[in-house]
Amino acid sequence: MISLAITALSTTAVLVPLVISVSLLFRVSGVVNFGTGGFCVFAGAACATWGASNGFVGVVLTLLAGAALGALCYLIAIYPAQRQGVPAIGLTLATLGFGLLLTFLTRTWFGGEPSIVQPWLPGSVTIGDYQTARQRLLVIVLAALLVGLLYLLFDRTLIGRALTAVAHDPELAGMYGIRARRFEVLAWVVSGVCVIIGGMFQATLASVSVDVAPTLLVYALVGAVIGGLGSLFGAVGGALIAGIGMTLTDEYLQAGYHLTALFVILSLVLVVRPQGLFTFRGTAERV
Amino acid sequence: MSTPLLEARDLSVSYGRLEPVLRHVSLALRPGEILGLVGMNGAGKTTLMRALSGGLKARSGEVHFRGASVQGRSTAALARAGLVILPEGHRVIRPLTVDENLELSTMSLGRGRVRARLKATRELVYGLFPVLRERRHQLAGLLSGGEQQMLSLARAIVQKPNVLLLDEPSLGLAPMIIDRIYESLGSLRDEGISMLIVEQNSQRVAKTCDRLIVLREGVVAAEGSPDVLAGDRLQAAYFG
Amino acid sequence: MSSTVNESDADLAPRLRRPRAVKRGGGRARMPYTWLHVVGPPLLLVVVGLTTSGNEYYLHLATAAAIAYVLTASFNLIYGYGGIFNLSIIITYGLGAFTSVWLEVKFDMSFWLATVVAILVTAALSVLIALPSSTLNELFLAIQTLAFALALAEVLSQWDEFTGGTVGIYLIPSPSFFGTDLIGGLPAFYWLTAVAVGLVAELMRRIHRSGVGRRLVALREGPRVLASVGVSPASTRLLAFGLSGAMAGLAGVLFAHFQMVIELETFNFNRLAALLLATILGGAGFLYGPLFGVLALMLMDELSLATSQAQDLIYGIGVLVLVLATRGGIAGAVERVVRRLTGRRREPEPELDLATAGGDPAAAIRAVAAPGVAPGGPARELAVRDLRVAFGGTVAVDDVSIVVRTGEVVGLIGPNGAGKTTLLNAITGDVRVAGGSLTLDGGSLLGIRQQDVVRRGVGRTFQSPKVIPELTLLENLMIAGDARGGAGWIRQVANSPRNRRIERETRERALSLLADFSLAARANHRAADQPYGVLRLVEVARNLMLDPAFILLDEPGAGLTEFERDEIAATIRSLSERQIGVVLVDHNMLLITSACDRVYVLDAGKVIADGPPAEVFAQSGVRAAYLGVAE
Repeated sequence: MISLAITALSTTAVLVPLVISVSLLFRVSGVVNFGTGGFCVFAGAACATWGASNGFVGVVLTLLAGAALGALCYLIAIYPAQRQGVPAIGLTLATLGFGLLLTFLTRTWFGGEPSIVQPWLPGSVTIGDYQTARQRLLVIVLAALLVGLLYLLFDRTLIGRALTAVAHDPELAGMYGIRARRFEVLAWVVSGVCVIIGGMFQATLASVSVDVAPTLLVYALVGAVIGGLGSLFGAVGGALIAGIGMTLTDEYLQAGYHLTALFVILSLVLVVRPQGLFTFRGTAERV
Repeated sequence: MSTPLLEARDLSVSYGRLEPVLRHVSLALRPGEILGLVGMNGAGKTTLMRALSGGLKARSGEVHFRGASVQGRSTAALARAGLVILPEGHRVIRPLTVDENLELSTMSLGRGRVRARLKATRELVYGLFPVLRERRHQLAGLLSGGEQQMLSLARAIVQKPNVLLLDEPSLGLAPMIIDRIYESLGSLRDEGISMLIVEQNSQRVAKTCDRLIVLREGVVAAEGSPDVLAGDRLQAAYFG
Repeated sequence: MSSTVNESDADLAPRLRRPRAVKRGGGRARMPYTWLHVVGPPLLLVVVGLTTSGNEYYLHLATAAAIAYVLTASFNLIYGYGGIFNLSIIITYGLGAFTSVWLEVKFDMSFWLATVVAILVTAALSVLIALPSSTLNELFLAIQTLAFALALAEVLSQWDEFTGGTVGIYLIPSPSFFGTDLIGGLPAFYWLTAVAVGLVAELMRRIHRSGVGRRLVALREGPRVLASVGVSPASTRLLAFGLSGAMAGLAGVLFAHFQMVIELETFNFNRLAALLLATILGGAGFLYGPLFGVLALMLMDELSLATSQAQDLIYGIGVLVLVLATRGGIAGAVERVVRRLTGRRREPEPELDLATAGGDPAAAIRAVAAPGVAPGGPARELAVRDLRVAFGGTVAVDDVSIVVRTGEVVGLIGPNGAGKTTLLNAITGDVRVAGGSLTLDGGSLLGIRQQDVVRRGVGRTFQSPKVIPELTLLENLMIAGDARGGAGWIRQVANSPRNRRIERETRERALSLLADFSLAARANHRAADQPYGVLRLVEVARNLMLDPAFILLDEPGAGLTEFERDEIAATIRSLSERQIGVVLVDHNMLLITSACDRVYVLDAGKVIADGPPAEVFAQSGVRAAYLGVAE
């Protein structure tokens, strides 16, 4: 039971940053980031390479790169197309293109081998009968911290509230004197950092390779849709459902059917409650 | 005669290749004035409002705010320059509380003055609308329509506008609330804010404004003081 | 996002600002040399076959390109024409490949039978994916199809027998045709592929020029358009999925027998990206898009620009550039060149000057429109009783009762926010009704889908005309005729005698309607180039194609000149002479007074007055509603 819980939580912990990033971008730019997989792969490879001698330095550099890449994606893929009035599906395609570029960069700079990052907290710990890697617990804690941090950012700072306003009603936000474009870039930066964090988590627990990019993309997308693209709360909820779903399928049905399980859950949600399981109409959600 | 704060000169606006929605419209809002803009729907009132706030490209003619053209300037930039809009439908930032909405609108102002300004203005605003003080920590999305409109007006006040454009402030609100709103508009004028109010409800705005402009089919059908432009004359201007 | 119908009486601006669409499709009207398009593809295939049969390398290339064409055409059908971002197309392609091989190897089926079964399987699967998602918007559908694709790949990877595990399946038997083995890579196989491609190309040509093509393009523009002509958008979506699934399956079968070795790994995300690129670069929605796309991609590959290392780079840049420069890809550029050469430029067309055009829209309706009710028969009645519509906390329509009979013109007027358009929306099934009744000749219309309301005889126009920009005016009218005609998609594609007759009749009827609206000269011009006055008339004409008993007109006079409004008034009058019941929502008092027999005045969701226009306007209560209540 404990092992199930830990596994589910650690899977969720990897998904949470990915889902948050997809959800955030959808709310602010109306775009689904199909380059998410590419970002993850970059994160794993960069962290492994740059952190070869000093893990901490590797992490910091990778985070910075994530921020930069998020902004870059906006500047290259989104902004020029928005100016031309390209609709959402076109912008989504553009993110796909950016993701491909990023994959190319990753392969060129870091090689195409699967990346494994040395756990930040090596070794294992025993809880009752169950033994688990310390890194797994660390990832869970870090993910929770990230959610807490983002909550504070969006809820307690003026910048965060402005972001909420832009996500909710960009035209009205303009009337409040908020320069929406700056906040859109900020959303992309935050989103970039989140995806990178998710990629790093994955790289420390298992490995990240180019082949697995589409899978990570689908995890992120499905988690976001299940939870509801409306809020931070929805994103965490969606990631949790996805994580639990995949773990339970492994345990009680058969291993190796993660994507199938997710697809089934997604289809059910879209039929029963397409706005997402954790979206409540009438209550004004935060980002 | 002081220079107009906001003025439209010979303004014609059309959407795409349609016939012009506004034809050679000129108006001027002077400091300390309240202008009422009335007319039937389809007459072009909201279009004129949009054009005045830089949201539309004119086919011909110009719009100037404090002497400079509004062409190409974003809503946010104009808000920061002192031209604030209250859009139709008592829109507020629903996921934020009353207090947070007010705090957010300080982004119109310069950096350093934020905190200090907010405290003072908040007191003013809560004085005007005591119900907002009661509900200051409630999510704006959960307020009633009338309360949202009050909040909308309150945040506009926080932005320290020179000119306030109000788009149908009484739409969908109960008469008592409408009275409250219009009373506060009166006191805002005393604070030095000039206003342009677009309304369908000409009677109400006629009581508050200094001058009334009637639009019909995209042109100014009549203009004058509300005492003069009343009764049959007003009806004639409306219906033609 | 389903309906794009506005629910308020707000002014024109938000609706008329059209974002620049990702340009897709085109070249529809300009297919004068039909024989060229029929003979061209087979001819090309033969020429290519003959010139490459000596050279193994080029033969290989040609066969691969032909198979890629079929796959690209399948995606072009669903995305280019239908506007649906179906990301499961590659796995469907793979499924076709594995299914046919499995049937041959395990059940000893002949290639030919296995092919048929494989195509049926992929078509059925595609339809199954589409079934639960009929109300999803583009983006969500894309996500669901992507999730499906990966899930299916996961399942298949576990089914070793079917997919050969990590090794894949090799030793795929070659098809045999009257004793000759058609071995992949050799000329005989090329000719097999060529036959398949020829059939697919002809299929696409027929789809393009028939009602099926028009229906797909309409789907792309938004489900509300299809519903306005009585066609179910959901079933159109299923059709698109089924057809494209079948084509992708065929491509898969050919691929398997060409490569003679297949593995699941091949059908991956990169393959999808290449397919997207080929479709968009070639020209999404254009008949020859797939051809250009395949050629372009082949060229890129051949020029060694896209070695496996740099492939991501090229494709990534390609996609980014295309998104920005989406003006129809290569096929779009070719079309522009052709248009320039034949002297026809795409410029906005002039306003309709009815005075000099010698047209008489009123006569049009008298002459062509079949009666909504049999002459001399009883009047039909559309009745709304105590209707309530509420959004959240606000009541938009508050216990409203109105009655319209065929042959009358009834006006709906009132100040902004009064609920006029909401009332129309309630009648046409665009908004949910909270209470009250809505009947047509006593039968309830509540809860009926939009397309079925149209089929029962209640037509409608919109404040922003819902015509399909990429189609010609004639084609826009023919969509309505297609729906009425009763020829299903199979007949339409097969171009059966019945279909040919129906299409001829529809075309004639559409042309004469256009002629009497003085639009005959523009029949083959694109709707995108027409001024709004023309589009309003087209929308009315399109409704007439369906023999409605009632037509609801939503602000037909908005944005028109006085002269154009007079024409609209005359048009409305003759609709009523033709025993069609008209409900007219508008702000213009002159139009209302001249066109309407009776008028209902709405204010804040309630009817505050009704009667003949002159009487109603004289009432002080009505004037007060517009001016505002005196304190």
